Amino acid sequence: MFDATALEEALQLLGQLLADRHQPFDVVAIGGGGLLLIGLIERPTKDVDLVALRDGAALLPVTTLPPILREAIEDVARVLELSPSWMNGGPGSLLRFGLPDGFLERVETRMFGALTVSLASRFDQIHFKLYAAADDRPNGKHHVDLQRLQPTHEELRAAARWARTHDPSEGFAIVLRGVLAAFGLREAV
Amino acid sequence: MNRALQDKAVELAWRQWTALGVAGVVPLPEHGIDLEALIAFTPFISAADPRLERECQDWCVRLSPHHVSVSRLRRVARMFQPYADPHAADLSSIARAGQADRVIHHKGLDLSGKSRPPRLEHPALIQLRSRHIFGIGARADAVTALVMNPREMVRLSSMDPGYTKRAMALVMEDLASTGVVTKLIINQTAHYKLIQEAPLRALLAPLPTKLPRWIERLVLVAALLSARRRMPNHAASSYAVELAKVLHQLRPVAAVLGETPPTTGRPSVLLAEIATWSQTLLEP
Repeated sequence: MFDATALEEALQLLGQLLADRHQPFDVVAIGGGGLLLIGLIERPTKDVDLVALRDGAALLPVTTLPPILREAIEDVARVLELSPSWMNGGPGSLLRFGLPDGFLERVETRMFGALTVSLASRFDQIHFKLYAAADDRPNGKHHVDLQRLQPTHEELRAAARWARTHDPSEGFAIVLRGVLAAFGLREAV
Repeated sequence: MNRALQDKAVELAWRQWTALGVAGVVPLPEHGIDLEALIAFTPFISAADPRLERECQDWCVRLSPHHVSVSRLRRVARMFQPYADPHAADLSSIARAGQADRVIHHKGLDLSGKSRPPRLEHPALIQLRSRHIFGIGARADAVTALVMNPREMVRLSSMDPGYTKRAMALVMEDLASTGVVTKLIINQTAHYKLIQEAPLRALLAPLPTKLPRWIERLVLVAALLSARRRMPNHAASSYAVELAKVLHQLRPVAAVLGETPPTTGRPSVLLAEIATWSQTLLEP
C-alpha cells in the first residue's frame, strides 16, 4: 500500500528510469492514487489507475499498457517490492464512452522525470467516484472517497448525468439513485 | 560502485594471469584458477588495463594450445556473451584459434613475447596440473573438482557448466566403474562421491586453499560491469533498478553459488548492498 510519500517515491523512480531509457510517457491518472497525489484523501492506496495515455490534446487507450512502460513499472515494482500492477490501465475502458466534458482543461499536471502525470481534478474525480460507488458496497472505499470530496448537489447531478452515458440501464439508475440519496439528493436520474 | 568492483577484478585477474605465466609482478593467488573462465572474463576489464590485455593476448597466442580446453572455452564464453563489449579484444577467439589463425594473430597483434610457460607445481594451477596428468578435458576437471570437494555428494546438474551433462556423465560413470567414486541414486538422480581421496590428493598436490566456482562468480561480475558500460549516464536511482534487473535475471547463476543477490530496497541502499555483495564474489 502507498501513502503519499511512498507513491511520490515510486513515481520519481519510474520517471527517472524512463528518462534514462529515453522513453517519455504522458499518462492520465484517476482513482485513489490520483486523489492522494492532489491531496484530496490521505488513506493509503494500492495502485495508480490510468485511464489514458496523453498525446497533447489527444487521449489514447491504455487498457493494455505499452510494453516499454509496463516493463519499467515492473522493474520499479521489483526493487520497491510493490505489486507488478502498481500502475495499471484498469479503468482504461472508461475512455470508450468518453470522459467528462472539459476533462483535460481541469487536470493537474505533475512531472516525474520523463513521466508526466495528468491528475483528474476534484470535479472529475466526483464523476468517477460516483460511478464506482454505484458498483461498490454501501460505505465501501468509493463511497467514503466520495464523501471526502464533499460534492455539492450540482456536482453530483453533473456526475450522475455522465455516469448514465456509461450505463443507461434501469438497474444502474436504481443503484445510482440510492447513492445519490445517501448524499441527500432525491431526484430522478 | 563499478570502479571499486573493476579495480578488484583487475587485481584478481593480474594475480591469476601471473600464476599462468603472464609477465606480472603481483603475489600469486592461493586459490585455484579456472583458465577458461579467466579468458572469457578478462575482456570485461581489459579497457581498464590495456597492459593486462596485451600480456594476455601474448599468453593466449603463444601458450594457450598447451593448456586450454577449446570446447569448454567455447561453452564458457557463451555464458559471458550476452554482456560482452564488442570493442574489447576477444581473448576467447584468440585462445580457440587453430594453427593457421594463430599465425595471423601472431602477425596482427603487437605481442610482448614476455609470457613464460606456467610453473605447474604452483597450487593455484591444480586445473592445469590435472590436465597434464589426465589430458585436457572433462575427466581432468571432474577429478580436480572432486579432490577439492571430497566430502560433497555431487549431482551432474551441479557440476562444471563448461562441459555437457553427457560428457560429465560418461566421465563419472568411468570413475564409478573403477571405484574412484561411488554412485548413489537419490530421488531418481545420480549422485557421486569421491572414495579414492588420498591417492588423488597426493597425485594433484600441492592443493590450493580453495577452488571457487569462477565461471558463475565471474559471469555475475561481468554482467554488473557491462551494465555500467551500457548505461554510463544513468542516475544512481535508475542505475540501481537496472542492476537489480540484471541480478534478478541471473538468480539461477547466483543460486549455484548458494547466493541470493540483493535486488530490492531503496535505490541508494540497494546500490550499496550490490556493491558490497559483488565484491565478495571476487574474494575466494
